[in-house]
Amino acid sequence: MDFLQMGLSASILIVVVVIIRALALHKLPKKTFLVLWGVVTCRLLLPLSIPFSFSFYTGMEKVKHMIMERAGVGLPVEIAEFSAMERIKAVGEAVGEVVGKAAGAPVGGPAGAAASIAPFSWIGIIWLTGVWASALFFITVYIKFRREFQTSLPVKNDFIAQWLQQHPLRRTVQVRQSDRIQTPLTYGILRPVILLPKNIDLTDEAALRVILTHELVHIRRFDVLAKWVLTIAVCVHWYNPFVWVMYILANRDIELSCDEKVVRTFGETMKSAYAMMLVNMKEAKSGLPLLVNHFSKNCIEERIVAIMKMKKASLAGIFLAMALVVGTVSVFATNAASTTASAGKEQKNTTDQVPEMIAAQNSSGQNNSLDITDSGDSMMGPEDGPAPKEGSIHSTGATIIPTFTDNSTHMDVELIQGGAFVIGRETWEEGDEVVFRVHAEEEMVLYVGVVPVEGMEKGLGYNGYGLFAPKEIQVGPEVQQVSFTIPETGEYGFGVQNYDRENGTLSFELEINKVFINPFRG
Amino acid sequence: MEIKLFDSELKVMDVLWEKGDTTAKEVASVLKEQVGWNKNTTYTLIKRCMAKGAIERREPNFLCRALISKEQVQEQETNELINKVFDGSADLLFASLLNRKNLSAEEVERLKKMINELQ
Repeated sequence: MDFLQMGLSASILIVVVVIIRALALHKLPKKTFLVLWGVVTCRLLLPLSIPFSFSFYTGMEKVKHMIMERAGVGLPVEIAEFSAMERIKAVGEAVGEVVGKAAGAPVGGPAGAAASIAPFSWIGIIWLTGVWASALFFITVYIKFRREFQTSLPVKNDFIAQWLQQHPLRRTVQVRQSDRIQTPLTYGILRPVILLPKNIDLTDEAALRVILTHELVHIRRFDVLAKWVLTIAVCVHWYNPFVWVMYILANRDIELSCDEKVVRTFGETMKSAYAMMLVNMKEAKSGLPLLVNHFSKNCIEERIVAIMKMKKASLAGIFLAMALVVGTVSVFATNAASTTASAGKEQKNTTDQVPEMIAAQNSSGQNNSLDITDSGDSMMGPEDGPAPKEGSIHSTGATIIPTFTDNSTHMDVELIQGGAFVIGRETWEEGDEVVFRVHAEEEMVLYVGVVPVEGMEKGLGYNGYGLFAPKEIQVGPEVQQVSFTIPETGEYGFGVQNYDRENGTLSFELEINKVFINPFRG
Repeated sequence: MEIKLFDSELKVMDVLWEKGDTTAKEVASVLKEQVGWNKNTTYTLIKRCMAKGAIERREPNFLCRALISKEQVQEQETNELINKVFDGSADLLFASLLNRKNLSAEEVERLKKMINELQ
């Protein structure tokens, strides 16, 4: 799954969770939202893809498919997805090109142009800068606060000592006091410290008990760690406003869930007392006291309302919550399952393998059938011409029109933006010379290269990443020729991809060691 | 001159008031035992006290000397308490102290003696 898709998918999920939260925050156990935010965070940070037939995205694919079929365009399903990334890269390159041209540097000459595999992308640089800037911000704030916390003094109090003994933890918990904070807080993951403000009344045992319990819940649940993970997600997706919304809401939900646990522990009778305490005190957590405090006005209100509205956990409520979580996750956190039935081999999931992996449509032995694949590609052969040898043509987004002259195959291929094809499946020897002779009516940019058969079989890309030593060439009305030398004896095909921003038609011949390649040999 | 010291800084001053001039290293080791601060924390606090004019650094060995006395700080804090909480009336503070039930018989004696001496 590529990065942008992860971000997009997570954003949609965030919107869904925000809606659920707005509608039913006080009716659901707060843990529900912790689970949901956890899923969002996983989606943001882990490039997993889970194809699911009832996923929201499967539905989207179907809709897209239907629209395209109606419009009579034989567009394969996956092109739009994969070309999003390509487009971004293309924009990045375009910017690079413009800059290059302005600087007077020659850009992409006609024959034998630069074979760039990972184009220098300005967008990538901007993104990285953003990540570093965000990380720097958070780290600086944290260090500043950490330094303050270190000047705290230990608290010598019998009640507290006793309480700590009664609630042992595998990690040692310290309770300290500082005159620099207004509200209790907790910091530290391996050696947690509960920090109490100086103006706390150490003789009020009831209040102390509540405060310590609240903080201990945070410590037990590793909430500080969770906040750090959220921070990482925000840094990586700094440009995405939905992720910031998630950050704020998730922090609040961590707090609400902790309140819930405290109220459950002490019983509902102390709800009002607890709420009153909150009114008098505000809580800050380490890592981002800055941001949390800034929004704390709304937070406190939300927390008080939540506490007062808390009801006993009902079975129905729990079931509803679980159903909601399972439903939301399975619909919005999964990926589109493959929607096109294939004749023969099962297709690999298409939408999440971008751009390296485009499912190759298998063109196994379709005698005289003009449809290579279900994805809408078509190949129009002359009616009396032979069908292509099995497995010798893979394509997506390409309409191939072969012409036969003598023993050679001259092909005209219409390639949509991002479309690609691989032809031939021959055993070529090390040192063989493959020559690709091409021209096109309008100028277009192509990636061409040799594709090893494993690539073809696995459906791995015949784009710049799957091609072996690909070359980027700019073709035009004049015939050009590009040659490749086979590195190692093996089975190969030849791949061409339209790397341009437009559709285009090209005409070419392929020969190896001066012998034409003809995938239509009977 | 008013020097405002935080609790943590007062703790550092405590060590100096008790032991007199001490090297920073020594201060750090004492505080490590008493309150668990690491060396960097203590050094930072010493520097802050120096910036506030409460500690003077002498060589050799980063010798720390208190520039204000404990009594000065006590007076300052008391005045602030009187002004802030008791509306500038020391009498009110005194009365409040007397009202606390935990004055022992000896403390009462001592207070009476002090009043007599001041008269």
